[in-house]
Amino acid sequence: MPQQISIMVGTDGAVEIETTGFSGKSCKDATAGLEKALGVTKEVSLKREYHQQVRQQQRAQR
Amino acid sequence: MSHVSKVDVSFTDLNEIKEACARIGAEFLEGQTTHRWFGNWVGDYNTADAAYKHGVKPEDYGTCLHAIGVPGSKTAYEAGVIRNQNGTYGIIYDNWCGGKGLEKVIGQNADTLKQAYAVVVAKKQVQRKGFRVVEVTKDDGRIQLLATK
Repeated sequence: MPQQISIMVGTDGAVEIETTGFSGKSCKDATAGLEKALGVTKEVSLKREYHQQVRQQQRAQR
Repeated sequence: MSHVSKVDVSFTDLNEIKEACARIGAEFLEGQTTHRWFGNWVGDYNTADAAYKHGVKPEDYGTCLHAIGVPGSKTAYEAGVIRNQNGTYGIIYDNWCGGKGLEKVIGQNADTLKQAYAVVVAKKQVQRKGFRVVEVTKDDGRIQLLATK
């Protein structure tokens, strides 16, 4: 699955960044520099894929 | 892992402000330390976004580090690039009558400039990380950068 970063820049300059296809913490590594260069990060939410990945890991450990 | 983050954009890089100006058709007037405005403060603008409520003294109105203008216009007001107290750059301008044409170029509240700046910065950052970038302008004016690798 290719790594993808979608950056949506609003007409007021506000930016929403969404990542898909990353494994582990690599998505945060990929966007950390981007977020820092742009300004102040207001909010970060983890997507469903992340929670699914955690559940799978927990099942595997049982 | 995947995530979504929201970022408030602030101007931190002068070269990228210049590139944003070029992108929207504004003229970056490097080293011009005054910018065209009404000329003297008459104390008639006091809303929350008034410059004096954000650390700019009324006696400093009209002064700046660099200016941003409308190419070919001798009547449009100009924006001033100033240094904020937190080290970032700020954009200040007289918004009377849309800055007499300035807002047609930089947008109300300099939003068009902010959008262009965010696009310039974001594109460079992801390209540096080896991503290919496609830019799409949406019908509602938002700009999406799709970066893949």
